[in-house]
Amino acid sequence: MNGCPEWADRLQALVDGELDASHAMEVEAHIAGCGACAEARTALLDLRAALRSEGVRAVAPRRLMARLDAAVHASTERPARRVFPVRERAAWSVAGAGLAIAACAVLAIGVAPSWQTASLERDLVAGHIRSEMAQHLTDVQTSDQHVVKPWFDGKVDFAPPVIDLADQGFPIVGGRLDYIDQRTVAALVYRRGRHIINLFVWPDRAPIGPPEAHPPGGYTLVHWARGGMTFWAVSDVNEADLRAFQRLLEARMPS
Amino acid sequence: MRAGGRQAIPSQVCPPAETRRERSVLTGPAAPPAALTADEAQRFRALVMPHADAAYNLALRLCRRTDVAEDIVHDAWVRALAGFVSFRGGDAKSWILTIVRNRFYDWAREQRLKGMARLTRPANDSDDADPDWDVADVDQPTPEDQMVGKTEVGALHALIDRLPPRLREVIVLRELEELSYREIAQVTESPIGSVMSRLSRAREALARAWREREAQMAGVRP
Repeated sequence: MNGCPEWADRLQALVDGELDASHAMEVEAHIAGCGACAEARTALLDLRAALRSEGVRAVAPRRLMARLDAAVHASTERPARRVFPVRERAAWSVAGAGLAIAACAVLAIGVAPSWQTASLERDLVAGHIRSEMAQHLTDVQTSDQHVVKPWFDGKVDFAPPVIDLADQGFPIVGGRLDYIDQRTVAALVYRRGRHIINLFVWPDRAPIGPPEAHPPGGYTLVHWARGGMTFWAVSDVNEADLRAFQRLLEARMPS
Repeated sequence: MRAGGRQAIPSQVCPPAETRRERSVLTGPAAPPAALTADEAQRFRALVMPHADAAYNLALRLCRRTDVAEDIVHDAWVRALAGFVSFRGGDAKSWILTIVRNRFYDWAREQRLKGMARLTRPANDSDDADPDWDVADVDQPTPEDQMVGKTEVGALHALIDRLPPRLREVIVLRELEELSYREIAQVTESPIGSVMSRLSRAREALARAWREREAQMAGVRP
């Protein structure tokens, strides 16, 4: 990078796209007549190409993404919006804080099941959306259910039923781990045409309320429980298709 | 061996014993979690979450340890969430990277206070020296001949990591995160003139080291 010292700053700014058109032309004109500066520019661009080659920029590990997600989740106020309209919340600032906290505690107990379901659904839809981002769809990518099933061994402490429905128009494309409701769950990924269906599975015997009529973001959620496992199918396919998917799966599950 | 299984990190990526902590390698009071409304949380996810890779990349190149980088980013997220209501638009990437960078310097200072920093150079806070609070890169002892035999990506990481932190951060922000001079000035809290001069010195150092590596490679494999 041994160009003319008096041009070095402008040359760098040119390479960094920081010059307006007239200054850029001025520098270009100089470079056209100066071999040393032309070489210096090539050196800057070579260095850039090396630094921007694949793998130099680190990518946040999935474990970190789950922590960040949990941090956002933890600092999101859960019960409020549905229970207390904004107007009433403003009135609280006048009332004593102690009273507000007490009222909140009482009401929160009353509405717990409903907001738990709502935040769970937000988690599920967020998991589905994340899965559609590049490179997060599957950890194990295969259309072979016999490869997907053992992949979960040792990664989760339960065995999710892995069933292929390719012959019914729902081919399995892989599986991955996801993080829902503060636990690691199995996610099985199916395709329906160009749509993706995420089937989240974890062991849970507790009854869960029915899905909201209008889940966030226009996604369809179908939930069922079977054999001590809870299942949530999330997709942007229509509800009839997702119900059909559920029926087909259930028909092939060991009873 | 694992501390009661309390750590969520799988055993194969457990950091070495002397660096393992209960929760975070960062100490000091974390901001109390502020409750965001569902709408604000959604806005946070839309504006800030897409910059998780950038945050991690900056943190990792600054601290040079994956476990610490993850904690720095997580801590930055907690702070960003607490301060999100006061974030009035603007560039979310610069905003979160500023927080990440500050958390790195907080961590570096803590290391110095704990006496854990290996003093690599005499105390000096100028751009071109490793300041006394910078932590020696234990993974990269940095004799030149170690460049040979590394993969290209590994060698580039080693070259960046050998730069003093003030030069390291501008090259990462410009070449890897593609920030403008103005944004880098904002993130590093420096005048644009300093950004340009650090950038130029960082590039010169990298280009020289790269040429040396190529020459050595040619010497090894004539």
